[in-house]
Amino acid sequence: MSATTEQALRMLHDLRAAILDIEASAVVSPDGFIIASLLPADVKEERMASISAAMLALGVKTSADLRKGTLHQVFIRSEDGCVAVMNAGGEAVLSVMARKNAQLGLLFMEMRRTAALIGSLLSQAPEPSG
Amino acid sequence: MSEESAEQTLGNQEKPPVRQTVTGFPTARLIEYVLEKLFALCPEIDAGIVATYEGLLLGARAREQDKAEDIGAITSLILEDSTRILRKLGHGRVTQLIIVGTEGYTLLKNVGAAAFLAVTSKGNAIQRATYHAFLKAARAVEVLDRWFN
Repeated sequence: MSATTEQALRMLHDLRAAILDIEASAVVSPDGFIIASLLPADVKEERMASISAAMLALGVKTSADLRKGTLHQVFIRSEDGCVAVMNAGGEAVLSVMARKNAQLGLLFMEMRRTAALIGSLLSQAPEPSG
Repeated sequence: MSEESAEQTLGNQEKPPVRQTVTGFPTARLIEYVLEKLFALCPEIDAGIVATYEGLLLGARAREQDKAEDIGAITSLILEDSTRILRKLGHGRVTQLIIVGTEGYTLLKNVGAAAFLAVTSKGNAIQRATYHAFLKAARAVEVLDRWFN
């Protein structure tokens, strides 16, 4: 595990500790590759990556169609839970699945803080060689 | 929720339209009324629609009136895509959706089981007052649910 992945994972652990309603979280590249993830046994990385990529595509398309600028955040709540994706500095997105009763204000605030930390971590990370 | 409580929810003095039949003109008037009040309370909102989950418009209002139908169509697509995402998760239907961009945001909320309210707004962060008014408006049109069931 690279140092960047390790630090990103630590940030996901901190986020999970701050919001107990979070069931799964991941840092995903805009093209759908997992950088770090903290998932329960029943959620596979591929599934989390595909959901994040789909939400990102939905948000980007909507923001462009409605002329609302660059995408910052997408949030969907259903009868069984909620899922949120937040821009983390352009090089990745922070993706979170939470229980349906999660406090939205708190969730967004902690996600914003974590996304900013991930953004600065990835901007300082060395380019992968090869 | 009755039309009387819709009036209380939006907190104003005017009388809302009274339901006379199960379908038809008064329903449209109620939606029109709620959207009108929402626009008056939140000047940053630039469009609002009420539509069924199948994408049929029940009411729409936009600051640029010709945009209302475009926004209705875009919202239906958003709903379709987000339903597909939730299906991957094994979750039920969309009850709330928020998309925030740097120059504005889109809010969507179900109003009962068959329809939803969606608004688009200016600004790079969701204003508490706008969100509050949006939720109140959604509750006010929940009366529609009675007519679908």
